[in-house]
Formats: sequence, structure tokens, C-alpha cells
Amino acid sequence: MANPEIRKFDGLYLQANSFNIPDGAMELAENVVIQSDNIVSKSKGYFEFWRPGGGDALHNIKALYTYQGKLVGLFENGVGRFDESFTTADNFNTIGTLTRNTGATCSFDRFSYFAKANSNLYMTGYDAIYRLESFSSKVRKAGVAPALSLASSSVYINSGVLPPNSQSGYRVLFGRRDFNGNLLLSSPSDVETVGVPAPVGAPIPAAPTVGTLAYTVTSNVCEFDDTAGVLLGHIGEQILVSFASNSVINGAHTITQPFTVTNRSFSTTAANGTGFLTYTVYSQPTIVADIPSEINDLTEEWFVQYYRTASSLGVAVDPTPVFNLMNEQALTSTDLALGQVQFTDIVDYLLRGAELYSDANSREGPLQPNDRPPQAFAMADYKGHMLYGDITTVQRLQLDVANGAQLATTDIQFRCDLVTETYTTTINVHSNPLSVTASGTGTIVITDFSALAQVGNQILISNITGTLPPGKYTTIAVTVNTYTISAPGYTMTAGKVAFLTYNSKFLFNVPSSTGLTVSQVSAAASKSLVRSINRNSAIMYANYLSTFSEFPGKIGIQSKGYSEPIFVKTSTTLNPPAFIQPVPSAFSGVKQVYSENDQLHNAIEISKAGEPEAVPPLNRLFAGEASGRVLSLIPLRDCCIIIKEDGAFKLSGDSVGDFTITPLDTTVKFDGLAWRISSQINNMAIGLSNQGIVQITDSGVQVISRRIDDVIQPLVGKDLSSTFLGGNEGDRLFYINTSGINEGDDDVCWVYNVLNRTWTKSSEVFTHLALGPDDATFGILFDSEAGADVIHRQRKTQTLVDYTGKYCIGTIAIDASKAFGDFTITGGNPVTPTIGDAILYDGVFSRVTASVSGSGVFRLTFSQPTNIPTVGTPTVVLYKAYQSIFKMAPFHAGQVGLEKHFSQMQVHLRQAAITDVTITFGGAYFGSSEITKWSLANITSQGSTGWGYSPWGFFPWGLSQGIKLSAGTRAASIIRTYVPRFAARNTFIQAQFVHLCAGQPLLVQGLIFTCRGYGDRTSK
Amino acid sequence: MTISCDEFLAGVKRLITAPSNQKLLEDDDFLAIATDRIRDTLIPLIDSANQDYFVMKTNLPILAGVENYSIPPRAIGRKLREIKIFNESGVRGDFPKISIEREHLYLSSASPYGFHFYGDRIQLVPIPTSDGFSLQLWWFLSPGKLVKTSEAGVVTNISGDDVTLQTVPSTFAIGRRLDFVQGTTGNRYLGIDTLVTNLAANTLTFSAGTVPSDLSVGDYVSLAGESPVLQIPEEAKPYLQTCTAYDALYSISDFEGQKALEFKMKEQKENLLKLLEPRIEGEAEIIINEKGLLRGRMRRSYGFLWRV
Repeated sequence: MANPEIRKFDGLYLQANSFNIPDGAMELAENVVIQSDNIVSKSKGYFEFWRPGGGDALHNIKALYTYQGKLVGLFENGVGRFDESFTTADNFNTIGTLTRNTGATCSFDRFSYFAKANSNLYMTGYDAIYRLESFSSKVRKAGVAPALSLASSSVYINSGVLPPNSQSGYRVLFGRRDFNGNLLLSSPSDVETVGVPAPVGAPIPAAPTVGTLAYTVTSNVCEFDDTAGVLLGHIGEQILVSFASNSVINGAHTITQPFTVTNRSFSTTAANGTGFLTYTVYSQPTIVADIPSEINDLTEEWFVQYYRTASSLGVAVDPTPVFNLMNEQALTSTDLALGQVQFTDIVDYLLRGAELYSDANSREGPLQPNDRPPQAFAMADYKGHMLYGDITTVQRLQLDVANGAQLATTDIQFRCDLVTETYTTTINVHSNPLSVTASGTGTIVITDFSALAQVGNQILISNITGTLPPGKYTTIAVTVNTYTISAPGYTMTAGKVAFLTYNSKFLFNVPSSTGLTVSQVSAAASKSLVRSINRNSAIMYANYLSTFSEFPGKIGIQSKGYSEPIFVKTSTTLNPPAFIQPVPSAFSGVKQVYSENDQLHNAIEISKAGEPEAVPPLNRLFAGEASGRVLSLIPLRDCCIIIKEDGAFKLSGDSVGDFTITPLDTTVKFDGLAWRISSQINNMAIGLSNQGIVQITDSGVQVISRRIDDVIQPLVGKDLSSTFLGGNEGDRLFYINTSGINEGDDDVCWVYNVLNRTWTKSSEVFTHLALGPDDATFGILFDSEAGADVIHRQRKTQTLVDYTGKYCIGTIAIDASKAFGDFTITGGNPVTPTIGDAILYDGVFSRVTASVSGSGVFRLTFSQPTNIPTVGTPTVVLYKAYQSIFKMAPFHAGQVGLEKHFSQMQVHLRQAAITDVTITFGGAYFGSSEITKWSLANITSQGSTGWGYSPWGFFPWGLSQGIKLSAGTRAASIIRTYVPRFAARNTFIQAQFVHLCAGQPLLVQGLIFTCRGYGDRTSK
Repeated sequence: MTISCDEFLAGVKRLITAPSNQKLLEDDDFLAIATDRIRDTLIPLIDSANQDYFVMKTNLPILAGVENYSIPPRAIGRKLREIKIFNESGVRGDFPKISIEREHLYLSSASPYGFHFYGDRIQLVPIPTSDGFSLQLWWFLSPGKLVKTSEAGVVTNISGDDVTLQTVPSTFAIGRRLDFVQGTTGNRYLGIDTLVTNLAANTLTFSAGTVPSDLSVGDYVSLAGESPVLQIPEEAKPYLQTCTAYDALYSISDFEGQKALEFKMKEQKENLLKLLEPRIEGEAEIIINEKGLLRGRMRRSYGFLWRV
């Protein structure tokens, strides 16, 4: 018992009986870590990396992540990245220069999750998942906006790609290759069906004259119009003759004169005769696709892909829904300006390309569209699939038009939150593009005999003759049959105009019901409404859902964002109603028809493999109880841990087809109000739960905070909004920033070494932690003086500079004795010199033992003659010291009940890593003893083991004031002291060490007491 | 060679390898232990040699009607080496100690004849009825309490009642009583309990005529009863050092260390005693039978003083 030794430092023990824990247990361990096993080391310091300036456009830094070697910051109003530059010549101090990323308006908070996939960075924002394709790229919403509505027109010719008497289907995709070469494809568009009439025949009533042009029929059986109202039978088209009395004329003949109602003319060299005339045409269709409004940047190099089915074998026969790629074209600026793109299909089906990815049977299937990711609270990339947890989908509403003609009698209004959009039909203007003439330069007057425009109408101008770019324009003046637009510098003499708005209402077209069935009217009106929505709406997209032989008039509405519900009403009460749904005529007072979305707290949506932004709605799994939110998704090697309010679950499997979710422990609960309740390190998840801090692996949940339970368990039920967990894999350290146990206590940061399972504490309590460049930890801390969040950077230069804190730059004038210097601050962090700080010059620390300020100059006293030159006023960097404290648990030498005399204490260091330390002792009778200030200078006048500054310097002979790290055990002064009176005679003793010197790593590896038991009587 | 307390401290710390950084035994603690050791070990030891090492004398006027006088406050053991008396004419004579049992036999005289101890005081017998007599007290002046040299001042100049010091400790102030300590070997008190009447910069002004005439540059001025140097024979320093170390080790329960010093202490003590006695080797003390037949009769005469 005379000289018991503590050689195994074990971190904090704040729960167990303090008389029955290892001798190396600690009760206070702030800013120290058990980095090397059983050794007390100083934790690494932090300095200010960035604080907001007055001119920054970004406000309130919330989260950080390192992407492509750059620190990316998520702000309350956007994304920016920090360029790091050295501020001092010693290359130990950097500052971040913020540059805002352009692109989407977005907002983030501390809970934002990051995931890297396909070389892109994904981030969970308030209202969507966002993506960066490079650290400097635009911020984009993840996923591609859906392809929308299609329209078609046909030209009937002899050699078109669509054969007579057939139906063919078209769909389109929009897509682009991102900066990293990933192919991004939208969900497929609506299906546009193009029918080609069957051959129509008629008897030839009389023998035509050979070689003559005129051929008269009395039957009008051939008379039919296409939807454009064009009479069939144009010059050059083909006509077949069969069953001719003169068989010579059987076969194909070319129409030489337009058909009239009664005349069919074709040329033949054969003899006259009677027979049967069959009129056959092929179609050359033009497909027009509406471009989603979010596709608007020419530089992103968007393309559109056109897919077509094989033509069916009858105009009344649905084509087999297998779509093949027929064409791909880049979107041009004209396309983007017009909001639509078109393609005239002349591609032979033999040249078809790949099948559409959503084709049934042979491909992924129609229920696997590349939908955008949902809004999600949690996100993680696991085995090539992006997982989204606690999801909210877009708003969706289906309207079924049963009587399209009724839509001509009412306005249709959609309202989302504060935005109301009105769609209407009008006879005053036309929503179809019609040819116009125009004149003027800059102020262009358009003559349009089909419109009675108003000032303020929005029009879409295309097919322009002149320099005017196609696009949307607004009328600024009108007369009868003319309207004027302003386009400074541009000219136009002719073009096509379609009206988008009239009377501040968006226009769509309801065809006349004359000659059309109700279904045809409904289909046409629905399609027109869909196209108008897609061309005009700020709040929603629309799709025409009816395909092939389905019931016509199905309109799908989806919100553009994860918005409030979209309500719909008509302006008048319709009787009979236009919609199957009971669409009201008012937004209040009656039952409403509105969109709905899925808010699934326990759902995990899973992207396609290798396509993190393609999330089919069917790829959805559920974990645990429905109201228990998914708080975090933590991918490990063999599973993805799902942290939920109601327990810990794991998702396992290798692909979306065999992913399964199983509970790991449903007795452990997590606080959904805490910001970041868990994180990952060392192939495991760590979370703060109702059972303490738990380690979660694919095999189970284990409490790891048992040693410090007394400061963790009281947190249960408290406001944990400040909680943030994060780890630094390289340091083997995991940080739990959370609340203190008492009301009004400061927040605390508990530090866990995942390898040796020791706990310590840090005074740096950040609201957000991230791993930055150089594997350094970056933290966000609110600076009450600045009233703003400031980024701090962990020092990680792998030198002793890592054990310093903030810094300031200044000039110094050293006096002749080299013992003093007058230091004038010129830059750096907002700090001033104090005792314990050190100036680094030429790789050697000069330690400050006194600092007196006067007139902006700090008179510094050094612990020994400095190596800073006395000539001139060199610029130097002063590094701040920060305090490390550790207090051992009660040491009783194995006999608590025996009064002992603790006479002496020794502290053995691994290296010469301390020059000054303050020691106090606690015991059974006094909380703290007299203060013993241990100073190396009291032992050796040199204060170091080096050979002086020059010419030998501290290298390579000694390192004690240099900055280089060294390994192993080196000569070091033993810290030896007598135990002061208040603590010397005690049943137990607790040594407490306070270290406040810059650039010293502590490295305590032995603590020895000299003690002697002297009596059994411990109290009165 | 003067041994300063600082030197002494270094010796003690060297002996026990005391930590350079500790609060248990600070310099004052070591000096306190040493002071105690001087008082409980060194003084008795030196005194036992009967070589009058610490003897000092003080003249004390006798006033009419005042029946007793204090033993000097700083007298070792509250004892006196000798008392003599001066009559009105300045003739000095013996002043015998009278037993209390016989005190009443001497009350008829107007002049003091002898004394007895009355607690811590000297009771005159009989009580004088007139002024003019004075006592000469021979007593043992205790060595000063050891203090660090920083708590004393080194004399750099003497001018009448003004004494200039190298640095003036913060404890020195007007109204304080100070001692003058010889700065050379022997380190006796040149003057004690001297009142400071003024302090200006590093110069102290003392009561008129109280600055010792033999005060020299290099001597020390300390608070009354303190000394920045060891006021014992230099050869006693190792023994005091060992004794102090021994006690320091006790204070940290280092009994093994104490045991290791015991033999050394014993040896040092024996050697020291051999050194201290006799104080003069060439001049043996003559023993005179004061009460012999030839020398004793006349001393019994009342009211008569002999010239010594």
C-alpha cells in the first residue's frame, strides 16, 4: 500500500459505486481523451474557420459536409462552399471563403442529412431532396420533373411510318447526363395514340378514260376528314384499284388532283374499266411534348426521347404497349422558350432502339417510373439504393371528365395555399397556334383576325419569320384584330400565335360537340386542359391518364412541390356535372374536392439500384408503428439501421426485391424532437435513447453509456433540441452534444472512444458537427457576441500545433534580453494573448508567462529566451491555450475504511509533454485542497530538455518546445509533489489536474501515490 | 561565513529531495520546522554546554514603589543568567536571590537588597522607596525565528538614525519594531526591538540613538524576533538541517526516510557537543568560593555594595 500505482486511465465513471471502480477511473475529464489506450491525452483544439460577414447573401449556417474535398455549407437560404486558404505562413491556420452555389431556392436546418451516390451529393432540405453534381454546381432538386402531356398531328402520305388501319402509341422521356455522367431520366409521359384510317373503298361506277385525269364517283364513302379537318386525298397520295373490269388498272396509282366530294382523280396508263377503288394512306405524325417548367436551363443539356409502339393491326385495335426508342433530340433554347418540343416521326420501326424502361414484362414495368424522391426527413445510401425515411409525397388529385362539353360553360379554379389559378375557354381568342402577320421593330404589331385580345394577355409565339425569339410575350396594346408586344430590337413579319391567358385566366379549348361523341369531346377538352396547366401553372403538373381504350377524360394533377393540398372548383354549378367527382362551385361552405399526399412517418422509400433519384412509388417498406417517425437511416456494411421513435430496426438484403425490415429492439425509444439523435462510426450506429446512449449493430442494441449513466439518464424526457451526434472515424471519437442534466445547465459534449470504450467530455459543444477536409472535425457554434453561427475547425496538422486553440496574427518587437516582446495584433481570430499561450516561430514555441496590455500593444513575457529575432518586428502567430481538466475518481488504495496519509504523488508522462499544470486534491473531508502549481521551470532553469534554439535548435536533439510529434516513451520530468494538508490525511483522495498551455499533449500514463494507513478511526 | 535561511532551505530540500512543486511544505513551513528544532533541540544542546552562547545584558532602572519587573520578553526559557544592581552612584554589586521563605526578613530597608521570582517577574526585596537604583539583567537571547532573506533588508547605508536598505520588505512599516542582525559569522543581534519612526523609499528612520553603533553595511534588518540567517554556530547547521529534514519526513509519513537519518543525527549531535565545549580551550575557568571564610563575611552586610 505504500506506493500504489495507477497505470490504466479509463475515462469517466459517473455511475458506478466510486469505491468499486478501476483506479484509473475519472470523475471529470474535460478536453482530454483516452486517445492511446490507458493514456490521458489533451483533446485537439479548434480555431475559428469562418464567421459570417456583413455582405454574405447566405444566412445562418446550419449544416456542413465535405464533398469533393470542399466543405459545403447548408444555410437557411441556400448552399455555399468554402474555399480554404492559409492565413499565415506557417500553414497551420486557414480561413473559409464562402461562395454561394446558384440554383434552386432551398432551405436547410441542422437535421439535414447528406448522402453521396453516383459521385453526386444529396441533401435533405426543408421542402425536397437537393443535389449537387460538383461542389461548385447549381443546387438542383433531386430527380427529374415528370414528362407530361403529349399531342400529335398527322400528315397522311404514301410512305409514312404509320401504316394504314393501325394505332400506334407514343411516349416521351426527358433526361440529361449530369456532371458526373449519370443518366437521369424522367418518368414517362402520357400515352399519345395516333390512329391511321383503314383503307376505304368504293366501286368505280364507270369506266374511266385511259390516261384521263377525271374520274367521277357518286359515292361519298371515301369522304372523311382527319381531325384537322383536311380532306383526304391529296395530290401525290396513293390510291389502289382492285377488281377492275380491266385488270390492267388494278394496283397503285398516284392521285394527280385533289379529291373533291365527288371526284377522285388519278392517272393511269391502263385501259379504261370499272372496278373497286381503295383509298389508302400512311401517316407521318408529329408529336408535341410539353416541357415541364423545371426544365429551363439550356446549359444542362436536356434531351427528349421519343418512344413508339409497334403499330396495331387495325385502327380499332390497341397497340401492344411496348415502347421503343425512335428518336432522341436535344432541347433547344426555342424548345425551352416555347415550353414544348416536337418531333415528326419518320423513323422506320425496323430502326427502333431500346425499350422504354417502364415497359411491362420485358423491362421494369409501368409501376416503376422514375419518380422524384419524396420529401424525407432521413436519407442514406445503402447498397446502391438511396433510402428515404419519414416521407411525404407530392399532392395528387385525379379528376375524371365525364361531360367535356360542360367545361365550356364554366371556369375551373385550382387553389393551393395562397395561389389560385383559373382556367377558362373563350371565343375571343384562340388557344391553338394560328398563323398571323406582324410588323415593326421593337414594338411589334401582330395582325390576328381570329382574336379580340386584351392588354395583358399572354401569348405564345412560334414559327417566327424575323429575329424575334420564340416564347411567351404579353400584349401591351390592342385594337380590333391587332395586338402589340414589346421586344426591343427584334422584328417579326409572320408567325403563329397561341393565346395562353385571357382576362388573367389560363386558356384551354373545348371542341364543338358537333359531329363528335361525348367521349371525344371529353377527351379533347381534358387534353387541352392538361396542356394548359402544364404550360401555365406555377403550382402543379397535369397528365392525361387515359390510354388506348380506357375511359377518356382522366386527368391527373400533382403538385410541383411538397405543398399544401390543391383544391378545385368550378365557377358555376354545372348540371349535368362535367366531372365524376363532385367538384364544388365554391372553396368554402360545401364539401371540397382536393388533392392528398402520403405522409408516412414509418415508411422507407427505396430508389432504383444505382439511380438514387428514381424512386418508384411501389418501392416502399414500412418499419414499426405508423406514428413512430423514422429519425435516422444509418447504413452499415450488412444492413441499414433504422432509428425510429419507437425502436431500432434494420433493413437487410441486397436489392430492392429482397429488402426486408426487421426490428432489432423495440424497447429502446428515441426522442423525435431531438435534432440529430444518432450517427454512425466504426460500422455501427450510436444513438441517444431512453435507455441511454446505445450502440446499434446488425445484431442488436447495446447500452454503452452505462459508465456515465448519471449524466445521461436524467436527460430522458428533457428538451433535447440541442442534441447532435457525430463522429470522427479517424480520431476514433464519437461526440454527443446534448443538454446538461439540470435546468439552466450549459449544454455538454460527451466524447466516446469507440475503440477503447472510454468516455470523456469536451467544452466545445457544437450545434452541428461534420467531418471536413484533412479529416478534421468542423463544428458550428453560436457566437452570442456576434449574434451568428460560427464555424470552428479542429486542428489536424499532425503536429503539436493541434493542441492549440484559436490564433491571432501580429507583429512583435523582441527586446534585447529575448525575454519580452511587444505584440500588436493585426489579424486572425478575435482573441488576445494570455498566460499559457505560445508564439510559434521557426517551428519552436515561445511560451507566454505574462501578458499586459496597453495602448493596443501586449507586453508579453516568455518562459525562456525566445528564438524570435530581436531585429525588426517580424510577423508571428500566437496560439491560444485552452484548458484541459481531469479529476480522478476516489483513490483509496483498496481500503476505504482506513484513514491514510497520502503524502506524495507522482505523475509520469510518456514524453515531455507538460511544462505547467495546476494540481488540487479532493478527499472525504474537503472538496478541494490548496492549489499546487507545478512548473517545469522550477525543476530545470532551462525549462526544457532541448539544446537551445540555435544553432542546434530543438532539432533533432530535443523536441519539447518544437512542434513535431514523437512516438514512444521519451525522457520527461516526473511531476512529483507532496499532497497538501487539507487532502493528505483522508480515507480517499482525488487528484485534479488543470492544464492550460498551448501545444502540449499531456500524455499522462502513470499516477502514483505514496500513502500509509494509520488508523481505523474515520469519524467521531 | 553567514548561513542564510535560503541556503539552509536548499540544504534541507536537497537532503530529502523535496519536490520543487508542492504546497504541503513550503519554505515557511521548512523554516518553521527549523525554528522549532532550534528551540527544542539546538538551544538546549548549546545551553547544556554552559558556554554562554546566547548571553545578553539589559539595564533596568528601579523606580520608587515599583515592586517587580519583567524578565526580558525574548529571554530563553524565561530565565536569567545573572542579576546585578547599580546604586545611586553607579556602583555595581551582586543582587542575590532570596528565598520566598526568608523574604520577610528583608522588608525593613528602604533600598533593594535582593530579589525572588514572582511568576514571570523579578520581585525586588524590599520595595525601594526612592529612585536611583537600577538592575542589570544577564539573560539568554533566543535566536530569531528563521525567515527567508526576502523578508529582511540588507543594510546599504547608515546615517545617524537613518538606515537605508537594499529592498524594504512589505511588512516593514512605521511603528514596527525591528532587529539589527549582524551580517557576518556569529550573526548576533546588534540591536533588538528598535522602533521605526519613519519610512521613506528604502530608508528607515529609527528612534533617536537606537541604531547600534556597530551596525555595518551588509548587516540585516528584520522584524523583531526574526532572522534571515542562522544565529547558531555554523557547525550546528548540518545538525539543524538533518533535524529539520527528519521532521519534514515525519510530516509526510516517510518513516523509512526518518529512520535513515537517525544515525546521522546522533553522530552529528555528539560531534557538535564535542565542538561546543569547552568554548575556550586554553583558559580554564577559575573556581572561586565566594562564601568561603576569607571572602564571605563582608557580603552579609546590609546595604553595602561591592565593586566587582
